[in-house]
Amino acid sequence: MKRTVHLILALCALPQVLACAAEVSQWEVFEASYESTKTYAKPFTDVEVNVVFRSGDKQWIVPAFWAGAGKWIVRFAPPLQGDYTFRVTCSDPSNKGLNRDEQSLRVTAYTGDNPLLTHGFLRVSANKRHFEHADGTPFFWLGDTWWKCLCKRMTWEGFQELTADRKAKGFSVVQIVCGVYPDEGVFEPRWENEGGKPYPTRDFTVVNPKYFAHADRRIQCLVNAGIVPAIVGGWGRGDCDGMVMAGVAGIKRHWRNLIARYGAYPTIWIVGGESGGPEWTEVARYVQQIDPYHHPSTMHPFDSGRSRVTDETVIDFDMLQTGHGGWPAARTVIPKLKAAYDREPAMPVMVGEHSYEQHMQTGFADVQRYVFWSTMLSGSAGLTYGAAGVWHASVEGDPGLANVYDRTTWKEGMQFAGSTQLGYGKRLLERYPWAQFEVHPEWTDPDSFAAGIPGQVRFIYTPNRGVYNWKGLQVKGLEADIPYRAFYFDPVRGTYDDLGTILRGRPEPFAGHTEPLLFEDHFDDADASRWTDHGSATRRQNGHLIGGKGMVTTFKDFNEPNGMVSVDALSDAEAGIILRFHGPDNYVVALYSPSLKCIFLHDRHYGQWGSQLGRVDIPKIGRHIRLTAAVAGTSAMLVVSDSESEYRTPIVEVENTTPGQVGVWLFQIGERQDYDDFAVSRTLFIEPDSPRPQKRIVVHGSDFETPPLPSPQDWVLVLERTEDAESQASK
Amino acid sequence: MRYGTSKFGHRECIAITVFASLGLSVLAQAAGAMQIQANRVAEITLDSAITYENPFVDIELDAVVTQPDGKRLRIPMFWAGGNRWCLRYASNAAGLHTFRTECSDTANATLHGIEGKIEVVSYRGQNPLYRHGPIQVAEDKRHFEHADSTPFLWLGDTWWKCLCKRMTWEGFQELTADRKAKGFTVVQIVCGPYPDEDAFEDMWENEGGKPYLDKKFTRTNPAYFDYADRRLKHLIEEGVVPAIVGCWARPDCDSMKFAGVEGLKRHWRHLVARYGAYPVVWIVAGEVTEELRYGKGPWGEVAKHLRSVDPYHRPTTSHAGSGHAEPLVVDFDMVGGNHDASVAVQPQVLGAFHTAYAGRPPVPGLCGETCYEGHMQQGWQDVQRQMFWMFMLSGAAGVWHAGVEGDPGCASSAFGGHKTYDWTSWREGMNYPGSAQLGLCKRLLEEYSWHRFEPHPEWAEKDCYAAGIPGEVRFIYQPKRGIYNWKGAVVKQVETDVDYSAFYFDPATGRRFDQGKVKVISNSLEDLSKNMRSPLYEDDFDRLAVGFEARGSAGDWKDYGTPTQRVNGRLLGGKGVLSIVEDVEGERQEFGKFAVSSPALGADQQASAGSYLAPDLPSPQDWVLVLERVKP
Repeated sequence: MKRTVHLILALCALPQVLACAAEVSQWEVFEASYESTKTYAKPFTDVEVNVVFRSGDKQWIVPAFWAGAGKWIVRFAPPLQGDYTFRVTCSDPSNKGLNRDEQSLRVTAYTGDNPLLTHGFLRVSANKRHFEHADGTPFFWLGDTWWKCLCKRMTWEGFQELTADRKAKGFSVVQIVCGVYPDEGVFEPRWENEGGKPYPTRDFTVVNPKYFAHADRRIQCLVNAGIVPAIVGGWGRGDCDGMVMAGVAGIKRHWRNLIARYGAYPTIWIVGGESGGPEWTEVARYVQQIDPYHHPSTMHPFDSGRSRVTDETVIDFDMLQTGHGGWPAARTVIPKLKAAYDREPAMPVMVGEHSYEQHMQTGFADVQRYVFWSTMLSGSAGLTYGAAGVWHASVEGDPGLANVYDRTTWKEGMQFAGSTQLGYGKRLLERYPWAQFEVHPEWTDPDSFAAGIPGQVRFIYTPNRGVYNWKGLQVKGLEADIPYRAFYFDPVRGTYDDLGTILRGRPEPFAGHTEPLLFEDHFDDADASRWTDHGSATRRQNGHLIGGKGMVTTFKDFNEPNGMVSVDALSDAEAGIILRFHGPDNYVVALYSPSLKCIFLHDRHYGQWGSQLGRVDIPKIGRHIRLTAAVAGTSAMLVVSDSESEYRTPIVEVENTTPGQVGVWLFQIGERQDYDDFAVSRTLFIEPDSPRPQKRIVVHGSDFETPPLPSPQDWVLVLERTEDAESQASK
Repeated sequence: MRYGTSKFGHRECIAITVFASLGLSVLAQAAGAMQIQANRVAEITLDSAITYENPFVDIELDAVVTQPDGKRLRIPMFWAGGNRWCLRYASNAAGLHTFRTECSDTANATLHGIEGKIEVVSYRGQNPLYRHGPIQVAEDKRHFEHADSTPFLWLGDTWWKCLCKRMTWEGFQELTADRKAKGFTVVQIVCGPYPDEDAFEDMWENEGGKPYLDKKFTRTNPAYFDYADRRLKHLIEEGVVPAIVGCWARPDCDSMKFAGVEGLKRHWRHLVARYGAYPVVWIVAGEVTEELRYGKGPWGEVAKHLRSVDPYHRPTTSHAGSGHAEPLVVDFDMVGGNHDASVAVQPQVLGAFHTAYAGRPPVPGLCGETCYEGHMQQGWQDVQRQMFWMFMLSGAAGVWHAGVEGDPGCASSAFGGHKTYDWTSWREGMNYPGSAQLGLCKRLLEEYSWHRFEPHPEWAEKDCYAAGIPGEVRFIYQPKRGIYNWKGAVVKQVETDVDYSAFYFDPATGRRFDQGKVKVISNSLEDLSKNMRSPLYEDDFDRLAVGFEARGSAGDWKDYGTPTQRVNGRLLGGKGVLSIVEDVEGERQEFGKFAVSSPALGADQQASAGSYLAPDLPSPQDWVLVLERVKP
């Protein structure tokens, strides 16, 4: 880091405690180096060097690492402001250079703008469901997978370019291996970085400080960009098993080296990749024991990290791997996440590996969005994404894999759309108290995902339901009298589609013919001159208007924009009220269907019926029914009643808004319909022209369907509590 | 008389204006013949001395051209605004072409009976549409070719609405350049009523307004077509064939409902007069009923009218369907697929194409619309690749690509209300990877005599597509079989004793992975011996000592594992034996990639004779395996 403070304690120059205390900012890295007075054959294993930092009654025992020749270095990030003392000690008490007197350190407030230092290192939140900084600020884990990006195929310039790209897109974590690599044989040349291999021997008894010096630069680069390195200590899968090669003692040495090097940075520890069992558990316990900061740690597994350790207490959160291969694998994610989430005691759960984007030419951006939104609204503590090419630091001519899954280069993979789209999602969530969200599947349909804070904010994600499907989302259990601002969020483009204010109001606007009747017809006489049959012929008989299949009959002398019509009918055939009639292919019809046993409206447009708007099931109704339908502005509604009960559709939105005739209708169910007591008036039902600062949708039940989707794809519906438009206006 | 350029200064058109004030037909003759290169368009304008109230319908004007061989063509002319009429003419026949105009108002001496000469000379540029001529149906009725019989591979892109002004002129040029660079040869574009919007909406306009001023198409707007000219000419100048769709016919945007048969006939005569001289393809209507293809009903009447007024007989079809019968109203079948990506790649989607392919008389078939890339956020590049190969290796004359999604001027009322399919912009859609990948695939095919390919499903496993020329070249497309599956492709019924070289082609990147030589040898030792070479090294383990004329010796060997010993003519070893002959020299390269399949190779028992199991795939995805006969 730029502001790392270096303090070189040369034996010859500093025989006593420094006269002036060194100074460093809180959470920044304080680095001190020490020169050994003795020469060791194997410095990496012959001695252990620690530095003990103290402030008040707190103490941190920080491992130091061998930096080559006779030099040992300690890195310390002070978690508190104030005065510290520190003293280096060595397992070889005779080495005066590594057993020094106490020194002083003054720690001041951090004044920079790196959020990782402003808010401090990460920890698990008190509710055990997400991560947060040391000061309690929630930390949103959006990870990317860079398993092999410490190797030299990825150049230093490339590393910086990739870091800048991920920072700009909003990524907050990078999972990166500093140890044995997956998908290649151990000790292959491709493991090297600019400094060579990390270890010259398979038992990790000799270390190569040059490797780590180059790795340092990259880890620091991530931290400087505000990205948390989630450091994987090496792989444990059968074909590339670091444990088989180095053994528990070797892997522990390696981890001590990692903690000494990187513990002073805001990191996450992933003890092993595709690892588990008693030996890895032992290593995880060791990591916990010697890490003075207690960075959150886990195991990257084949399935669940928690299931792969033999003692759950050695990890702080459960990382899942859910399988590659695009949609078939993506559909298994949520059951796995839920199973992990339900385990006791609670522990943050997140998917650390799923279908990499375009890995083996599968898992495109739509899959990435689905996994992001479905997991984030199902209680996940975060998500780690991955892209073909990036994770294996692939370059043209060398994909960096023993068995080649894919030849995408890292630069190609960096540009895949999913990374941008997940960034949009994270930024939207960060506008809300996402860390307080709870899962609320009861707020929507089973194929969608909902979470939020009751009475405050609701997020509902609906996956792509197939082509040509614009059907709106189901919102259930909406609280009464709370105005919500609603919008669709396009997870592809990060754009918003405002739906206005949604308010579950008290049922009041549909009060029948409150305006004077303009026309009534009881069909008692033979004068049908004011009516037109556009479909099959009708006749007037015994005080009824009788029509058969194909009846489209309108009253000529009404041509108002807003109207209310009521008519008596029989429930053994279709009965419908026509509104805004412009021709047989263009009108609104509010109808009762005896075959479907429901009521709904159609906004017929150029001969197309469109969807059933506001459908309400009517399991039982008497034979004699009365229909009352109204349309005003873009709102329409139907009420059907018999002598005992009344059924209402919700207010639906229609696109046909131009004035038109009204009439009665029977399309195809039932042989005949007997209409009687036809009445028409204007209506004040939902006054359309009142000044309103924004759109307002009033729903009359706790459950409703939102307006059609802006296009057939996956969408996020957001409802956020707001001041009602009208109450705002009154203020 | 003056020579000039068209409104936008397009260089390929040579225009002659005969001023009405000068009056007489001899003026054209007096100036001598204008000269035009083969297949390029000569534009001759006439100014009428009589002003008509509605020139578009009040008169009809044709030019009767007599070609050097005496053949006569009747060319419709179009009203170009004001009192001006325009003749566009092109031919690949070198020599002197003469014309004489015929106007329905024979009393109008400034339009009727005007004569002129056009001399056609050789084309000297590189544009394949001029160099080889416009495209036509090939003699085998299975593909397209240029007028000089050069095969033409149809790789089309869909730009239904790209004549409207949402697409700027600069954008149009950018998109054209992109498609040209990627290898596209056709653009399907609507010049008439649009799909997925109501008639006469403002979004129909281009920089010149709407094409027609009334719903019956009795009044046209030349300014619209002048701007359309610029775009269509630009496509041709860049070597891309415009496949011009005259109108749409789906119920929610059915042009027949408002323009009627007569209106659409007028429109098509107008399109032929404007664009028939260019190397175009006609698509009578989009999403139109099948009866058109049989010349029936009102749409059949429109199609027959188009054929009657088109003197060039440009290839004609309708979008989309698979029926045809003699007398042919369509020259080729343009079939559709499915916009649902999960359906679009199913083999049964080929049903309509197989019907078309089997139809009589034979006509070329191709897919003209299926799952657009990214349409409604699905149908990604893997789907595009699979659709390309499933059609191309099933005998298609070409493939359409889903290209420029997004306006969102696509506001369909077909599904109840005005609805948008997708919000992708044209520029975003332009950069979808499928277009580049299809271009790579087309270029691979063009390295071979693709136009002679025939489908050979028996060459491959059931989930694959195979085509080629027996004994010469085989293409096998193997769709992605799932992750972690590197199993190679199986080639069946490989001819005996034919030397093939094989490579995997990555349809996503164009990379090639050499698989060496492939030869299925006859099932007899005698034949096998012909392929044998003398051994480079032999060792019968009989002798220990150096210096004998022995075959092999212990000195040639090195034990890398446990030690071995030579006892009684045997080489004996225990656990951990790893003994290598160190010093063999020879033609290693001859053997290093020499693959010979035994008759028993191959998973399918029915194909036990002549099957070849190709090496593992370079990675688990879709691949094209190419076997080409090694040239002597």
